[in-house]
Amino acid sequence: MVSIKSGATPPRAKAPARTVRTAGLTGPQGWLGRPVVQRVLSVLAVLGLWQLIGSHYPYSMSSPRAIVSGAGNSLFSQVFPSFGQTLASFGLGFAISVLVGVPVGIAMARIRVIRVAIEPYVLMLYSMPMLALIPVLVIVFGISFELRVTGVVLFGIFAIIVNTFTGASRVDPALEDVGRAFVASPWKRLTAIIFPGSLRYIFAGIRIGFGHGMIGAVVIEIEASAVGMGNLLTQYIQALQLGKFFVVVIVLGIFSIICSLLIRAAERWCTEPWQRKHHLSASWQARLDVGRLAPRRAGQPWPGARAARRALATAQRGLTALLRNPAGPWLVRVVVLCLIIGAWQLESDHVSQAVLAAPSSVASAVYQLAVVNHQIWGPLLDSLELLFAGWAVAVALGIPLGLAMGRFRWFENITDPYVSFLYALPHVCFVPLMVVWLGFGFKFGLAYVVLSAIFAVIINTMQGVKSIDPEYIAAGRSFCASERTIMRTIIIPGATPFMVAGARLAFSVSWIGVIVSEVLSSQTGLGGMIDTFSNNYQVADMFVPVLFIAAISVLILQISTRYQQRLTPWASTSL
Amino acid sequence: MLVLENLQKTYGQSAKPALAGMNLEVKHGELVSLLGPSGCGKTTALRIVGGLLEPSGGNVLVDGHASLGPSREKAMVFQLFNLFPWRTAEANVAFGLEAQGMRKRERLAIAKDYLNLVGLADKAQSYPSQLSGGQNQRLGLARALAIEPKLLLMDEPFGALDALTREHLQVMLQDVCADRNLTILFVTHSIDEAIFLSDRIVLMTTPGRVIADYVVDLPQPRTSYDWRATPRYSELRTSIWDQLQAEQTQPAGSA
Repeated sequence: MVSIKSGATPPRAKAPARTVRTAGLTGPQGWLGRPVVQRVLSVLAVLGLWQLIGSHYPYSMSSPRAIVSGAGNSLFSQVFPSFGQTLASFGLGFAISVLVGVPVGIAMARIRVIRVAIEPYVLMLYSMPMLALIPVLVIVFGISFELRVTGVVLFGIFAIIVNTFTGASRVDPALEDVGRAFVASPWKRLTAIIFPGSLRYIFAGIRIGFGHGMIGAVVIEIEASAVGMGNLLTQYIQALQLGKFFVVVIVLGIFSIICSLLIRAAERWCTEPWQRKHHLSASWQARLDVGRLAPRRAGQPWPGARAARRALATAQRGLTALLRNPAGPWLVRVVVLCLIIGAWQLESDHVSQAVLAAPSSVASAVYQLAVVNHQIWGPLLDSLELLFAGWAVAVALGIPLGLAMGRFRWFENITDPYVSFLYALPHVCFVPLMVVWLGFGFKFGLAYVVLSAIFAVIINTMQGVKSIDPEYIAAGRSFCASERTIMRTIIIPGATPFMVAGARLAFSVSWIGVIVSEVLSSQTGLGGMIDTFSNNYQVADMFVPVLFIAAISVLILQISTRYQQRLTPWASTSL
Repeated sequence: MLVLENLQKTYGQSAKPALAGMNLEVKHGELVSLLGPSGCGKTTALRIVGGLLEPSGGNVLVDGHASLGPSREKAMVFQLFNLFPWRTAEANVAFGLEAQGMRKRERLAIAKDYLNLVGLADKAQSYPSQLSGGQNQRLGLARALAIEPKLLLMDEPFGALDALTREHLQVMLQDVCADRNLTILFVTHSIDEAIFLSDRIVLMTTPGRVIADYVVDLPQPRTSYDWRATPRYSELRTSIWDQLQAEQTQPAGSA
């Protein structure tokens, strides 16, 4: 009864359903079924079509041939020198992000008081569109190398911190028990257990941080620089040299792809030997009893260190007791907040109000804009409208695409080259071109938000489909379910946790896209407000939209995490 | 050699104690099994002795002095092996020595001896994921023995293995430990395993107390004859079985 209701076809009606996918030229037997052939054909078809149409619109689309000739006369004279400039600031910024981000992430996971003190800020800055801070930084640093490096660090470091933190707090406690049982020193436990145990997360963080850092490098060059690839993009668009514009895009794309392959190779080199099989399952964790740390005996104390050690132990005990009290963490947070505001106030007393506004004047600016003349609410609504519209379009397009890519091999093969390329590329580099196509208004904002958010949906959905145990599909087939029924009853429900995770991620990314598009080109929304205020040197006012943007980022993160758990209660909370 | 004095443990705010005043004395060189149904506190007791848990009350004495917290004279073998997946077999065995600060060359030489001892000399460069469950637990045993502990603590070490591998490792444990003069505390819920390996079997029941203490007076080494065919074996087995059954049917605490 149930199976009929759920739409499974009766056994005799569609016996050969199993062979549907493998039939014809696209099946794995025919030459058209080969992944390489499908990819090459797809790329050739798109290039041909582009040439055909693009040659009629040289100033808005360009064409492959124009790109090749553009490469001929600009690659060595202009593109590579600019690329060198970008590489210098990006390389330094990225190195700083890794070298600082990983230790901070581990410290957050291992030292409770550090976690309590900085976690709110790390999460806020992680989910916040960093571009909102760039105008502030421009005022502090001026248009300089330091500005570009700082920008790369700000864009990239928080992904590294958050991922390292997650990895280091998820190291199997059973392995830590071994460290304690064999009386390993804290340092040994860190280097031999915690670090290797979180290596996969660290690499994930480095990969994501790389992408964000690249976006940061290019976006700062577009917005506030006379050097580098971002600057070149704007120049070529203004000169209507679209062929050369695409040369820059392609160089950036190739660089990003090569680097992400290198990062992946490094990850494999570090972790592959021991990861042939999945070694830890959730049920392992569940069996472990959770106990408090037993007091550990230190090794031989070196002479004279005893007093210092005792003082440290007392301080540690005090902190532990404080943090165990329910009000303790809040006390720490309030103290940290007061310290930050205090330092900010002191610093702003020393420098000009045109560079750094004091917290008190920011507070009065908030009051002014939000309560007295209500200037903030209109742009706020504009930004939210763009956020929801862009996110909805990205989800509505991304889920079907992701389902098809995960389910049908041939569809994955013909679309994968573009998805991979566009995903690896810092997509802000399309902004100048999109402005040419769509102008400065809502259409541009919408397109940019969709472009930045859709890949999170596509890739998560695809992974969701691929993660479904083939045994479930085999079970469906054994009941002679049709492809449609399998899709509806197995694939879609099975992939739902991933789809929800993708949609959640897309929501955060959309918000970043909203602010980026507003700051870069349009005069609307909170991003546009920052731009306007910074052009008028209204430093205190400028902080108001920044604060609102940060608050909305945190709100989005909180709400979407909670909803994700509620929507898919059977899934583990950490996709 | 090992003395547990009125050992107590309550987890968190829970009203029911996991250990309600456990007393035990283990003589030097003895192998004592803690046997009982799941949840009876045997693993808790073992983890307290190993220093991984803090008792809520009572004391652990090793050779006459208090020994709470981990130390070099005690080594643990875990039920789920707990090998480091990112270390080779050799580096896993050497971990305890590395934690003590021994130089690389020395500790690898010692690790090699112990790999030999458990019959894994040819797997020195393999990772745990490339080895079978039985091989992994042999590594776990080698890692524990490598630090030359006085006291070996084994937490259902063969519980996660299939029946054949399990018997194989039981025999190996007997061979390996025979001439080492080790004191072993062994947690299990298999009556046969306990009879085969132990000098004494301590029966435990919920909530965390000792209800009986059997001396297994089958002659050693038990690998040299068919110990299951002896009348003493069936007698012991029946007696232990009956006592456990009686505890199961009676509400806890009313005995």
